[in-house]
Amino acid sequence: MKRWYPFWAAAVLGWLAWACLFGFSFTDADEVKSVPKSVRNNPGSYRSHYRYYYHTHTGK
Amino acid sequence: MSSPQCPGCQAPLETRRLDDGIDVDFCPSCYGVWYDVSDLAIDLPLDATRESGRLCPRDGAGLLEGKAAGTEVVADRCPTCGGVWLDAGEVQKLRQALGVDNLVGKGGAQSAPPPLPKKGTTGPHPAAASRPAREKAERASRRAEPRDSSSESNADETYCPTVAHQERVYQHFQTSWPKATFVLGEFPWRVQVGDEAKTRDFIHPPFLISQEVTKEDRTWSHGVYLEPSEVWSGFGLEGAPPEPRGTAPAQPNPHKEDWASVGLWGTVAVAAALGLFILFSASAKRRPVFSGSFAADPAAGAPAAGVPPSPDAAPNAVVTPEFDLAGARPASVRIRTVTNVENSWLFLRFALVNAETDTATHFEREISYYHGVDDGESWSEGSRSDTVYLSGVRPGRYYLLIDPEFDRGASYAVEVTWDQPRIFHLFLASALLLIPFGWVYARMRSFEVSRWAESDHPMTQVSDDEDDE
Repeated sequence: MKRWYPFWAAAVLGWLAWACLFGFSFTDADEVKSVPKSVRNNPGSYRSHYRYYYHTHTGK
Repeated sequence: MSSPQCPGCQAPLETRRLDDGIDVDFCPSCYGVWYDVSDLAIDLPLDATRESGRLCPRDGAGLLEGKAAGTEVVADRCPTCGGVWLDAGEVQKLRQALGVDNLVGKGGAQSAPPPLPKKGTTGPHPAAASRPAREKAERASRRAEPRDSSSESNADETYCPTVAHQERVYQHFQTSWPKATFVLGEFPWRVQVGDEAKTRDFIHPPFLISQEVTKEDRTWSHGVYLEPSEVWSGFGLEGAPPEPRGTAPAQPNPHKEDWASVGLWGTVAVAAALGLFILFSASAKRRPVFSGSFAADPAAGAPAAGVPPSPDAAPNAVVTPEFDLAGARPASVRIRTVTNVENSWLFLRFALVNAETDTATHFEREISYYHGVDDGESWSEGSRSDTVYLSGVRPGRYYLLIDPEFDRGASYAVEVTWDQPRIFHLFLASALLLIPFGWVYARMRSFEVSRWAESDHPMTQVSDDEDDE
C-alpha cells in the first residue's frame, strides 16, 4: 500500500486541480447542437427531443 | 473496606480455602502467601530479625524479616499480630526444611515443629527420604497449599501485568501450566514425567519474555521472532520453509509500516489538497453574470373561449437577455433558483444556449416545498431554492431558455454566476485520500485480533450461546 499511495494521492490531487479549474458536477445535462434562432422570439416552440420529460410530485 | 494488600507488590490479596477449611491469603501477582498466626500449625520463630520495609496486610505494622525456625528460609513476621509472610516458593522450601507436610492446621501453632535430625544420627532426613515417599509428600503439600495451576486462579487474565526490560514494556500474553507427559532427548537439567511449571509470556513484538516458575527456581528467557526464511537459512536447510499458519505471539505486524507511511503521505496529501483549493478559489472569478425574476402564471396565454389550446403552447417560457462568460478557459457555471412555492411544486426546464454556436446544454430542476402540522407537530419537506452547477462551460455569449411547469402559480428568481468554486470538491478529494487509511487500519487490526485470539486477552469475544435468534 505504501508504494501505491503516492500515485493515488497524486491522481486525486490532479483531479482536484482539474475540478477547481474547469468544474465538476454530477448534474445530468445534455448538450444539443443547432438550436434554432427563432427560439428567442417563441421560446415555447422549442423543446429538446433528446430529453425524457418527467417530473415527480412530492409532499403529503 | 478494601482488601488487604500484598506486602511484596501491593496487589490485592485473594483468600483461598484449603482442604481442611482454613483460609489463607495469597498474592495473585507475585504468589506470596500470608498466614495469620491462628492458621499456623507450627511455631515459626525468626532468627536475627530486622525491618524488611514491608507492611503487615492486617494492621499495617512494619514486618520483620529473618530466617525461620533455624532454617535458611527467610520469612517476614508481623510483630503485632504475629502473622507470617512467605514469598513465592518459600512455603515449599520451608516445608522441606522442616520436614512437615503442612504449615497450617486448626487450632493454630500448638506444637513445636518436629526436630531436625542432628548431625551424625541415623534416621532419614526429610531431604534424603526415598523418592516415592518424597514425591508423595510433595503431592500432599501441593494439595494443601493454594494451587496456582487452576483455571479459576489465572489472575493475569484480570490484571494483565506488564514487564519492563531494556526500555521496553512487555504486555502479558498468556499464562499456562505445562506438565511434562513425555520426555525424549538430552537436556542440560533433570527432566522427568510429571514435572510441572507455571509459564508466563510477555510480548513486545518482535521480542518476547517468558517466565518459568517451578518449585525450585524461577527462570526468565528473552527471545526475538524470526521469519521462517531466517530459521531455514540459519540451519542451512535446502528448499523453502512451509507456509506459516496463524499468527505468532511476537510476530511483527506487517501492516504497521504501511500505516505509518500512509499516515505521513495522507497528511501531506490532505494538506496539499487544502492548499490547492485555497489557491484556485482565490483566483476564481466568482462573477455574477445574470439575475432576473419571472412568474409562472396559470392564466398567462389562456386561449379564447371555445378555442382548444395549442399542444406546443408554453406561455410561461422565457428567454433571458444575453450575458458574457468571459475568460481564457472553460469553467463552471452556478445557476441558483429561488421560488415562493407553497405546498406545491415547480418544474423548470433549462437550456443554456451559446448565442455564437447555437449549442444548448439542457437540464431540468424540480423545486417543491410542503409543510403542515400533524398532531400538534409541524413538519416540512423540500426546499424553496435550488442550486445547480454546470462544468466545463466554454467562454462566450449565452442566454437561458426557461420553460416552467407548475402545480399552482409561482414566481421564481434565477441568478447565474460564472467560475464559481465548490468546497464539495475539497471534501470529495479528502475522502478519496482517506480511503486507504481505513483499508490499512482494517488490515492492521485484523492482524492484531488474530494475534491475541489465542491469548488470555482476546480482542473479540465469541458468544457460546446456542440459542442465538
